[in-house]
Amino acid sequence: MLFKSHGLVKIRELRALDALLEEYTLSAISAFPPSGLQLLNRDSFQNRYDYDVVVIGAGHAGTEAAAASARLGARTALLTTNLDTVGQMSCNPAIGGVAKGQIVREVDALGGLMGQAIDATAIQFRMLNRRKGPAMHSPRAQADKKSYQNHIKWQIESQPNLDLRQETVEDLLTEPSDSKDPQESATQRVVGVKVRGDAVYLAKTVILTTGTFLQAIMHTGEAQSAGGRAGEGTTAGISGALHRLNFELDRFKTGTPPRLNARTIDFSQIEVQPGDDEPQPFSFLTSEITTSQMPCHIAHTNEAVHDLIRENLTRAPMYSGQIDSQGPRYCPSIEDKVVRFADKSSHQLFLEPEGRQTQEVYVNGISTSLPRDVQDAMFRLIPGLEKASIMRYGYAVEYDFCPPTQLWPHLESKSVAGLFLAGQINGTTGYEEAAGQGLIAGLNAARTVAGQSTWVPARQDAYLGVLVDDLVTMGTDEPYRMFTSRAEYRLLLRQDNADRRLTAQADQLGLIDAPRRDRLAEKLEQIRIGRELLAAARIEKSPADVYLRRPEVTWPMMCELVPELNQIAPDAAEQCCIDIKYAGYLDRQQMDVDKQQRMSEKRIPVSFDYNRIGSLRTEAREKLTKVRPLNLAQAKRISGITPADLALVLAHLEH
Amino acid sequence: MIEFLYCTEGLLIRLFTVDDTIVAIASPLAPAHRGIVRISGDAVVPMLQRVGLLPADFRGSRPRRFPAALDLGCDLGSVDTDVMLWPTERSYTGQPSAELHLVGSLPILDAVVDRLIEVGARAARAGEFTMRAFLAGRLDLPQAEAVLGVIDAEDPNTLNDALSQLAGNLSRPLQAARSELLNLLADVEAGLDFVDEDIEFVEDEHLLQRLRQIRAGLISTADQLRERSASQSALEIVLRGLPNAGKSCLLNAITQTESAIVTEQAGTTRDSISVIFELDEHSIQITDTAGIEARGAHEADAAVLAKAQLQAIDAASRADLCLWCVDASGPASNDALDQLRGALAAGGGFKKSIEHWLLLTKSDLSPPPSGWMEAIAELGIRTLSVSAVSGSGMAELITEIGGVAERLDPTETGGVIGTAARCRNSLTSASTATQTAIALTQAQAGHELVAAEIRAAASAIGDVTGEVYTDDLLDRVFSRFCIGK
Repeated sequence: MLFKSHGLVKIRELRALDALLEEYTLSAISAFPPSGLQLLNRDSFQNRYDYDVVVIGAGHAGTEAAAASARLGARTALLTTNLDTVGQMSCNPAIGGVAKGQIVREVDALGGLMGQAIDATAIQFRMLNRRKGPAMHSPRAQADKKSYQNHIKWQIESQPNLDLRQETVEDLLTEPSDSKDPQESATQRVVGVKVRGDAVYLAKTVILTTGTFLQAIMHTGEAQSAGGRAGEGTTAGISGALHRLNFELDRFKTGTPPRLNARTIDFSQIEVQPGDDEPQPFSFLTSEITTSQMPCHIAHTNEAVHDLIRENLTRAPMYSGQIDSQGPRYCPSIEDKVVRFADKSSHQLFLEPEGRQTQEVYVNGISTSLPRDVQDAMFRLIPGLEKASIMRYGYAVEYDFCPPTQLWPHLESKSVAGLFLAGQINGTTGYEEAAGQGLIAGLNAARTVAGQSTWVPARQDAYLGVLVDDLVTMGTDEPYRMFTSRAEYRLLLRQDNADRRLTAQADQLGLIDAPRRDRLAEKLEQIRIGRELLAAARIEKSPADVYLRRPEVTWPMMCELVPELNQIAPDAAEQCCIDIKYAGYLDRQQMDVDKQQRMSEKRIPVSFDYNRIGSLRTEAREKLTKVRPLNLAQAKRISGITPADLALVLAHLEH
Repeated sequence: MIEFLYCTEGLLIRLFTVDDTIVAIASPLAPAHRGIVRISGDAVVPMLQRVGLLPADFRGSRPRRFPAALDLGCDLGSVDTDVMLWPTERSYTGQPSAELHLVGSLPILDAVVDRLIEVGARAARAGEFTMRAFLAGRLDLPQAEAVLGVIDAEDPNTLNDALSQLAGNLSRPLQAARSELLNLLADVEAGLDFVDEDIEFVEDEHLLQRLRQIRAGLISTADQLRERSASQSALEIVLRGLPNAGKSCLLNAITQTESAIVTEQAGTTRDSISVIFELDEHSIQITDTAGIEARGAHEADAAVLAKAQLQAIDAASRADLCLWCVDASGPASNDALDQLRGALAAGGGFKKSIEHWLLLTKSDLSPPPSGWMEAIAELGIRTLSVSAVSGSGMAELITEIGGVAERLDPTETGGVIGTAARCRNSLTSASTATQTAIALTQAQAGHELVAAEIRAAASAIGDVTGEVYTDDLLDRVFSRFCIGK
């Protein structure tokens, strides 16, 4: 074939390949020769652009990746097939939620875009779990979808070092890796991408954030169409390249519900869900939310709806056998809910406005791939929605993802040096999970280009640490979503202290600028003063900080007893309160962290040969060789690895 | 769901955590007149001070040995012990350590361990002292691997067997407690993670009730463990030999009962007699078979004899240890040797793993004839001289039997405290955590704190039964609740 015989690929050959590529990737992908384009002659391209970092895809992962990379000074190109869908919310028009809200705060603490974007464009704020302890407080907001997108796009356009381009990527350009570094396991190295229209972007690192667009098929009832999002296509060229580079690909499915026209909803019949009276912002830089808020509403399904769904199950792709890939259990389709929880006579439907200047309403809780006529009929049976008119029908989408055990924790491929993967392509779901991965990939791509060591937060430092560690260590059997129960140090990983956990680190990495640095310094100083005042003052013969530990004692009460405390800003006061009231629990979790630390410090060289350990069980040998954990703590988290296995590895490390 | 994973979080952290202080019985868990309790970790000196073995103002850094009395409290009184102390990191484990040498009675050794656990020590896991020694550079890799092999042997089945052997099958209540804790945790976690669902996952009232039930279960299991009775026998011994070789006498001497009818006439034992006796924590079954006749020696009672021989073969097929009794002073000693040679060569219907020992009985009567000992040496099997009458060699024989029982009994591994003590530890931690969870719930302190305690309880049980995995929890949540905003 053309690829195989030529050491040098000339531009006219690339042209000739254009047409072929489409065909190959769509049909006979395995026909690609394994080595791909070899020994690329960089001067042979007419339209050639040079960058440090190229990001493919401008969703939540791609925009954060590009912004982080550019902030670190890397010359960055962000390529998207459509400039009008930058930062688009493909599914629900909301940011945050339990565990996800914490991630947004972390992304913000690391200088990311998401927090400020939602603060600027939200139409409703709610702090979930407010009645529970501080570790559970989780911010969530409804976004004005279009405004959010525009805000993100504007931020990207305004970012120095960053070029946003509309391009369709057709192939990844790689060369055999020439690295002599024994720490590097990759056999290939990425050198850039080829785009439609005779052009190449050469770059030292490439970040793939193609979301659900790999080999995507959308299903609405019996009808199927290719594409990762309604109205858009699929990215065949990249699928082909991943196959050629021997990436393991697997298939997931997810779904989205129908959208209704608000004019046709009878809101008088359904429950109102207002926002918080005192909306709390996501970004540590936002002082106050001043925009007005819009209410959401809650409707309910009933047995008549469920009967209708049961009658039509044979027409649902998930039940007719048309789809057999794994979907998320925490976000089941309405078909799934009715089948699996047959005894439940009603399910909640959250009606979420998609913006201030649209009548479109997202119906959260009724994700479905049933045929159009069934979707129409369902709503006619729901009080308040009898006359509702569907603006977009719900659909299920099946897509390829790359099982993330193929990546290092900093999200670079183990087999193709310089190639990073972030977001839904790694088998995750959620804008927040995508954004967090994007930031980590962008940061590390830029650091790699600069010849710096990689950086990933630890599990005890951030939900982002839990996220990437879970992904690369355990992989995932269903679209991965963050839950607070995934974090063993949940009490330490709170939304209120994300800046204290991460911002100083972000400063060292070069991710943040002066305002954020100053803001943190000011807050830390206020906390210090507050703690000093509390330690010095005495109430009822005991130190004020001991007095504050009592469950019934609040900060305003303390301010009355110790008037100097009035000078402490509310955010610093909150930190003082939590630090003191939860000291016992925080200390205990910190002790657990310290115990784990010893194992994390036992590093395993990337080149470590598990075959050396004769007495290691075969299963353990295979798993360890596949995941290649960087330290003993990570090795321990691989499922099925026993203490004895680890003890053997440790013994050989010490030897 | 991962039912019985022994990759327990706690175990692992502990295996690599060298900063807590561990304690275990370090002598073989078999009768011996001296026993050793070993303790290692930073808190050795303060702990010995707390139990009164060291003066409160002790400051020394040199290794030392001194006699002292250890008060075990309440009804046990005090016990004399020889203390060997390495107060600094210059020790086998590379950290402050001590050995308490005292009488070799298991209940007392157990009580000493319990006393040290009371003042903050933790029951050591298999291989833990060795792991510390290895990390301190005191062992080389092959030596360390040998010990880690011991840990490897603790696979789920072995562990399950070990648990089953404890009184009343501990495995079941422990699994039940773990499962119930996880179900409860799943409910609490679901309430935390899925706040927008219109589901009341668990109300405080219900939560309290279930926590109390779990706690009661943990306490009753702990009681049951304490009162554990004889388990099924770990070791089966069969006595073989010519009639009148002294088998019955020996059985009586070993078991210190009069179970066997002992007469001077050869061939008294016509039926197999089995006696179960306790050698400390091990229960051992010993079977005295009908004497195996030299060819043509007896003609009467052929049918009875045939039946007895069948019983003998049956007993032999189950035995772990066969004691060949030979009357060293008797006339037929060469016949006996021939018989033994035959059995060794042909397998003789025994288990493959069986051990054969030769006992020269009646060693009090006369020394063995000349040339005899050489013939025995050729057989290459362990040989002991004993006399049930004078008692000579009996103590050694019993110690050796104890050694075999020790090797075969999976509930106790050499040099470390057994499953029972680990279970006790786990149950205590779990019921403490459960108690805290109850208190927190009553104080309405927030379910994330209650969850932390339930997790701690489940993970304490997990030290024995298996780790708590997030996926395990999520499986429970998603299989029971319709989550789906």
